[in-house]
Amino acid sequence: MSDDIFRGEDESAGAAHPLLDLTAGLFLLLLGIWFAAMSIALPVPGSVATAPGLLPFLTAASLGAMAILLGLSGFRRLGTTRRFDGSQIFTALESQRRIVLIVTIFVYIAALDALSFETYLNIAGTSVPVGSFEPVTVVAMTTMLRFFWTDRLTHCVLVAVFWTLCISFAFRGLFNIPMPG
Amino acid sequence: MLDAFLLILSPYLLAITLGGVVLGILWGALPGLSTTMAMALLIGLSAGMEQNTALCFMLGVYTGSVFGGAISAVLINIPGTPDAVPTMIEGHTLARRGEGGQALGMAIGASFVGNWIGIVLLVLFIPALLTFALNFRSWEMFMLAVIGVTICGSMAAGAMPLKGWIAGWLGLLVAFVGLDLIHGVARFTFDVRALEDGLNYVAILIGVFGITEIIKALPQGAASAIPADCGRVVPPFRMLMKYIKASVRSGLIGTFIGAIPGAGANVASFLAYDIGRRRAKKEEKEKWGKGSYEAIVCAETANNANIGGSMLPTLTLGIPGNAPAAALIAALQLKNVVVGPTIEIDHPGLIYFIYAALIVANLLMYGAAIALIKPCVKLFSLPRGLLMPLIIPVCVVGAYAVRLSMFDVWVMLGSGLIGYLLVAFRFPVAPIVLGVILAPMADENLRRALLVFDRKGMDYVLNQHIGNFLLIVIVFVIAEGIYRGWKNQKAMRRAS
Repeated sequence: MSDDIFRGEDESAGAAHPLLDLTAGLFLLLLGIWFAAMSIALPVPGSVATAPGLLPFLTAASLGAMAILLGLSGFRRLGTTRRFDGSQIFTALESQRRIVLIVTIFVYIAALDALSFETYLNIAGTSVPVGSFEPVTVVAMTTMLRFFWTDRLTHCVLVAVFWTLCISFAFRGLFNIPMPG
Repeated sequence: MLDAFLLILSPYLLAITLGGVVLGILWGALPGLSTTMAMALLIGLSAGMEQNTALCFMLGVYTGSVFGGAISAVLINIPGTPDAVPTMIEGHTLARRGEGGQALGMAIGASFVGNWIGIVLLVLFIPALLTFALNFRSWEMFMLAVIGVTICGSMAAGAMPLKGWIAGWLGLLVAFVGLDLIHGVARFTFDVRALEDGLNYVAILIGVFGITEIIKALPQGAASAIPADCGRVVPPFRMLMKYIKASVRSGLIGTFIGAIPGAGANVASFLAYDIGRRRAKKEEKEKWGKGSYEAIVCAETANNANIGGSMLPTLTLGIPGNAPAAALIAALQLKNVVVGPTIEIDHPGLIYFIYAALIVANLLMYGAAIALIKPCVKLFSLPRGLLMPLIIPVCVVGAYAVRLSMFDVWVMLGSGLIGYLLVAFRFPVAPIVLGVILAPMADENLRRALLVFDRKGMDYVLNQHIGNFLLIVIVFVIAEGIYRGWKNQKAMRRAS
């Protein structure tokens, strides 16, 4: 705000390190060329005006052009900023925690995808449906809470069980939406 | 209109709206959880609701969460939502002086007034805009879609519009995956059957606004400071009357900004704050940045008036005014409601119901905000490490619930990861969602228009006056963006 630069709705968006902008530009250029080539290869059942690849081609081609501009902007600024230190990308604690988080979410979704069962538990005379969503979610959430919140496993399990039951009740019980798994 | 009010005043819909408002305020108050994230995640839950119930719930959450950001901004110096930054600058200074309760009371009053201004302008301008929009044919609809993505890109990445446009274009490309609408040709499906249905935009929305944010923020592990007691909260209407001029001005700014695709509550509150500072009286101007009530009024009126403003292009043109409005469009589409110029013909009475829901949500927000400030103080002591893992299963169920497809859950994860990469490379993510939503409209209408032009010749093309005007608007938006980007880069180089 103080430097009179209009930041827009997303304040963090803007010029990155020149090397990052150059890399993004090159990658997006390749992506644009690839999509443009695939668009041209699409069949044309009617006239060119209604070709399925028309707008995808125009979009991909203009994306390529914008990628060149982005790459050039990065290239021009290369010498003006300090060197990019990429050594911290995988070694910093925050990055390691991020990788653990991504892997946990991945395993969680893979488990929901792979395991599929549903059974009914009789609780106080009421038949309560329980699918693979409940146990898988409890395990995944306990793992995440243990890693990011507290070392006390009992607390993590209790919160995970309570929250999973809340979600199950809201989606399955209240709004009749089937759960994944 | 009266029918709509009678309908919404049923105890069930009132309870749902209140539930939405309360959830929205609590959500908005929690640092790191944005309005857009709330709206995106709740699409899944709204899938199981009846249309009116879903609308009341979503509009309640929208209204509540925009205000909620002010609570943590004032009390713990962390903006709950990004648009609460100006409120944080002024409000927390006042809170340190023991005037936190009064600052929050002022924010509640300003939010209430802001919502009213937004709603009144929405009601006033919708008929004219709808009548005008009914003249739009395929060419104009294509242009509108391009304008939506272009302006959104330009407003989202203000410092470097090029990145915003690239993000929007990526969204367009993603939406082309699947069977094409006219000939049924499979595009970019790589013989994967699941891709023939296209990539579900709700899953993409949840991915880029939910998973991306969690991947970004959770590993940072920053702990929130436990706030002190906020004191007595009584919205000081007499004081608000003192700032009525600033309030009306900021409300108009907020509504206008809301009507521009891609420019949301953040731009509105910062712009109103900045204009307010320039126009303030000398003695008030000196307080700016050191705890000014007028500044809080400017920011809070603008970001709440933004809600009504964002509904204008959303309901009349089918172009979301901002990211939360995009989520609202997605929720409505799940109910087979396609918003746009023919909304009054296809869904008579729906607009009136939306007016009524916004008014009721605003009234409920006023009461709920006062009641919830003290519980919110307790809520702030919850660490991010506890809150964010709770959101992940909601994301999963939300993405799954729309088509009952695990493939969509994978799409959500993929979108979240790509969204995180884009954020790391400092691209905005909101234009992606706008691109995904507007791509079918652009694709279908461009091809239809070209077919018409092919038969009728060049003279006919040149006589499309509205289309030509929209084309000039696109050229202007791009030219202004290029100029702004160039100017900003020059300023940055000078600063470095």
